Amino acid sequence: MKKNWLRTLSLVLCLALCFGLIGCGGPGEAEEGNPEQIVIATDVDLKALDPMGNWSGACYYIYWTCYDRLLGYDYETGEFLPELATSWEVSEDGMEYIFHLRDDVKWHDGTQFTAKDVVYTVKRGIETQCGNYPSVSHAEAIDDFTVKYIMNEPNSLVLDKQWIGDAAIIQDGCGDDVATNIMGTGAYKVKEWHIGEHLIIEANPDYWGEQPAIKEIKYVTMPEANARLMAVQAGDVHVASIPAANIKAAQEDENLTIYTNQSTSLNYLGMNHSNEYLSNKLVRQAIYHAINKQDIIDAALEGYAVQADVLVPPSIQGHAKDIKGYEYDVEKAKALLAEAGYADGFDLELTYRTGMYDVQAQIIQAQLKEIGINVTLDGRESAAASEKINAGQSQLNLGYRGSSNADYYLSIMHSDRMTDGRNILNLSNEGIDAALDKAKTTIDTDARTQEYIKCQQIAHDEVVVVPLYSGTVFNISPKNLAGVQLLPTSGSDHRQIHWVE
Amino acid sequence: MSKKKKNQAQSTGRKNISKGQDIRRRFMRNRNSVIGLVLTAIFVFVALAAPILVDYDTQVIQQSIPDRLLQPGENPEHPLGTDEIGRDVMARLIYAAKMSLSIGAMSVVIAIAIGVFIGSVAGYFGGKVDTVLMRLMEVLDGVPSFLMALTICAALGASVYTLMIAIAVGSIAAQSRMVRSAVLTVKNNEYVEAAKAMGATDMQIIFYHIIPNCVGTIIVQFSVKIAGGILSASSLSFLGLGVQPPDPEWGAMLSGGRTYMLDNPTLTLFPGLCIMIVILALNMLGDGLRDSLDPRLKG
Amino acid sequence: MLKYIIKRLLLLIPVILGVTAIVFFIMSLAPGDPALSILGPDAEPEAVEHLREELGLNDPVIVQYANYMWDFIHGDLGTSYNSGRPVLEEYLYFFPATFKLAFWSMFVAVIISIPIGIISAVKQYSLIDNIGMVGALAGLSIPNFWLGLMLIMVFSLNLGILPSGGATAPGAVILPAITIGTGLTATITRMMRSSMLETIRQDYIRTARAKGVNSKKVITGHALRNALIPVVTVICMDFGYCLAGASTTEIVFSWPGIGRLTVNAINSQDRPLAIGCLIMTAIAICVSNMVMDILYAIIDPRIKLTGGSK
Repeated sequence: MKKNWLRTLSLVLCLALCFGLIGCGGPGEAEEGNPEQIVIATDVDLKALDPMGNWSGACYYIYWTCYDRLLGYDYETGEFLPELATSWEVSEDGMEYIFHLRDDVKWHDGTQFTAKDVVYTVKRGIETQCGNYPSVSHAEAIDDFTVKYIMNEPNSLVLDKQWIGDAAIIQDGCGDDVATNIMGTGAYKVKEWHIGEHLIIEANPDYWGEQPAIKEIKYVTMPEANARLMAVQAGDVHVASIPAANIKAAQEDENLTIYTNQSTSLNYLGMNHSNEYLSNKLVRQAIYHAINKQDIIDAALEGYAVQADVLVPPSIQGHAKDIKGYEYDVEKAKALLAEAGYADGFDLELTYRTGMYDVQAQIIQAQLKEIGINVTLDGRESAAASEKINAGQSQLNLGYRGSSNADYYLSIMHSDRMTDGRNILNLSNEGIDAALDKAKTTIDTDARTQEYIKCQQIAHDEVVVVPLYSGTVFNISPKNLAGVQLLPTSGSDHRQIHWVE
Repeated sequence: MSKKKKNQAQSTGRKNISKGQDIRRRFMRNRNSVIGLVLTAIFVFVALAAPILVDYDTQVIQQSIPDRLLQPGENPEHPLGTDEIGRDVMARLIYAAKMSLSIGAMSVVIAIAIGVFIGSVAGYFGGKVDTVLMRLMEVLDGVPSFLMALTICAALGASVYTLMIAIAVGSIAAQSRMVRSAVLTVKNNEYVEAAKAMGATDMQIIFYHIIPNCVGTIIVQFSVKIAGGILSASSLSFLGLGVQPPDPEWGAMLSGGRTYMLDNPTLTLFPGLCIMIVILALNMLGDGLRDSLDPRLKG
Repeated sequence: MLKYIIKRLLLLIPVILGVTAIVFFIMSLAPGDPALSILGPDAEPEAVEHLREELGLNDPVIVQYANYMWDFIHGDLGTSYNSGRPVLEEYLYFFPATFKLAFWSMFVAVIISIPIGIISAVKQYSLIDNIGMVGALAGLSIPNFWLGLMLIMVFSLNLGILPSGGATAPGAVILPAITIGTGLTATITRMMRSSMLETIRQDYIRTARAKGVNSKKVITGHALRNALIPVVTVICMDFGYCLAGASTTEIVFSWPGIGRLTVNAINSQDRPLAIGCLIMTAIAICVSNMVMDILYAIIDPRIKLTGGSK
């Protein structure tokens, strides 16, 4: 009896061993030449890919590759390019936009792309308040390949929103399935998607535009930065983003290409203007003078960032280049605080997203401590932090804005925010409101820029927020892979990637 | 020694010593227990003396961006180097000892207090009360303690106090069960019968007779569970849910140092070593205590 | 036997009910809006509110709990907020990776512990015994996440011979398995040692020795087989806990298993997924405990499943 169980146990163990070994299989043998499939590592899972709902960075990889937009954009000249729309007209009064559409475009499921799809996209976009159709009432299909936007009022931002990554055209009637069922007209279509692990896209053979050079792209999730770097060095991954801390190691490796781009992400220290201390302008000025932006940049980003003086980054149209930020001066800060009557200091709470601003928050805490303000750190997971900040319940907060137009950056200061659920600053300033409203209805670019500059000047004088920095984005790939497009706006376009010999 | 005792000694061939002395002797003979005791004592001393050994404001949380990421030995002012915002590693390690040990100890105290109460009530009263309480403990046990602690911290927000409660909750079930079985063995002893006969209330019996006899088990549990508590605390801090900055904690220091592992491996090496040594010491101590209190349990 | 299995499975029910209630209640106390988490923090508030309604997040907690249990009884564990896939499907998708890791971790643990345990017992109080026991304790004391990072540092970053993350590169399972395995060696080694010691002291062993049977044969033949019995049960129990997913290890190595899935779910307040994972984990542990008890009963005829011994 006992002999038997020992034998059975060994048999079971052997079977289990075989089972385990089978599961152990790795990728096939190395192929000659460059692989047909490239692997791109992302730091977060690709999930809930609804262009009208999810704007986390990695999602844009899919929005660019698998979807098309009405317009394209020339980053050098700032001009709009035809994409799904071959040409377009704006009416004199700015109340109608007409787009003429391509007639040779097919969805990934084989059906024809028509104006109906654009009408549906606009309808859903307005319903979900995605922000890509400002002041648009609705869209109408004039015929199968002509679509008209009807406006509620003129708005200069409409065309500017039609080329950004998430202004993707979705299929008529797709509904909320769009988050889990990627159905686009783009250069790539989905081959296989295991949420939480990988997403494989393959070149769309029926694509109306230029065929991409890479036939297959596999996106894998690798949250650990060191692991991504190593995987690229080992050849398991072909493109990955890395944080500033790993740059030195990447620079030392001769076989890697490093792509950098000044991120258009503008990070700022927000202040709640209804707080008893922060409502006092002297206090706000004191805080600004107490912040050493360079230290934050050095510690959190290894120096790879540019100090921000205003809320609009330098690469965006509307940036006020003549406004300089207040200088770092601890003594002056202390004096201002004393003048405000708070020589003994007081307590404040800083709310921020963990995993993103941990180092920055600690540095700010130490810097404000020097002038007598005791900051308690309220680090929360992303959604929890956003909830508190958007409800106007934070005192100090850390956040960022990133977009293609100045309005998006400056809009956090508009008094509309106090009632629409994004009340970061609890601010109501007539001058700022007026400037922003005027800019929205001004078609002429130069005049619009003047309004934005006016807005930034007021913001600076009133010390609405402390603009901190614009970081740098790094991507790495092996030397013989080129074409990784880091876009000035968030995300990167992988359609141009190709092997070079 | 009196003549009687001397005779006794001669006839049995060994000295007549008290139970306490016997325990102590067995303990001291075991080399591992002694090492465990010494190491634990060192850590406890450091933890208690931390506020005196290092100054919180100028050493533990003092940042210095120009001095960031110094290697150990590079700057005599910072013998073990500095972290990513220029804070002294050694001072933080010392202060972290205080955080970890106090969290570990408090969570165990809470768990044992509740566990003793539940276990003795269940064991003593038996019947329906016992069944209900034990089922409840089974449910609590259904979730692995680490995940339970994680859920609580994620829900209630990370702080030292949440941490203590969260970790405690994970141990309550095991504690109750242990105390309950100890109580069961003692329940029918004569002196309990005697106390009942003398009219003592149930509560009095539980507190004055039953619990004191479980002390041995409790003491052994204490040492081992503190080790578990420290490990849980550092794991949770590693995930960002534990001690909040700027307060240092070994697990959190490990997590922060991860990004710099290539060039500054000591940022992850030292905190990890601290955790390991403390837990090892406590485990050795716990083993030694168990062996000396009840040598039958030893292999 | 069948009656016993059914009885054990029935006992699972109150556990599941209880676990669900506790976790549901705790998670409902959390700040943070799951809808915001899904849509990303920059989402327009109207879109967020729309989603909240859809997910039933504005209902009182009791109602949400009742709805959840109703679905659960029908085999529907809900849909993950994060991925939009059914919870059960998610769990089963990531389970094989954890199973594979658990298997290899146990393998590492077993090939280290059993020989050391045996030798320690046979040569009790020797140097090997002492080193073995302290080593086992050390293995128990090393935090998994730290050991994992150290192994990555040495073998991946510095020597470059083993992958540092993910599950697809060949040999990816080695470092995580070593990490978890070393932690398990302590209990198994000690159990092996004490069980062996107890068996060696038995009369029949002394009889065999007295009869002149070769000492080595005595150990491997007679003693070992019987000594292994309680060890096998410890191994099964540890395997059961491994199936819950060694969370921190999976996170450090980006191993796509249940542990990482559960932690991410809890952290992002993905309630259906978090609760679903915790329930499945509870079930996995219960089932493996049950298998362990049954195995024990099969192996050791002295034990009867209904309690008591012959």
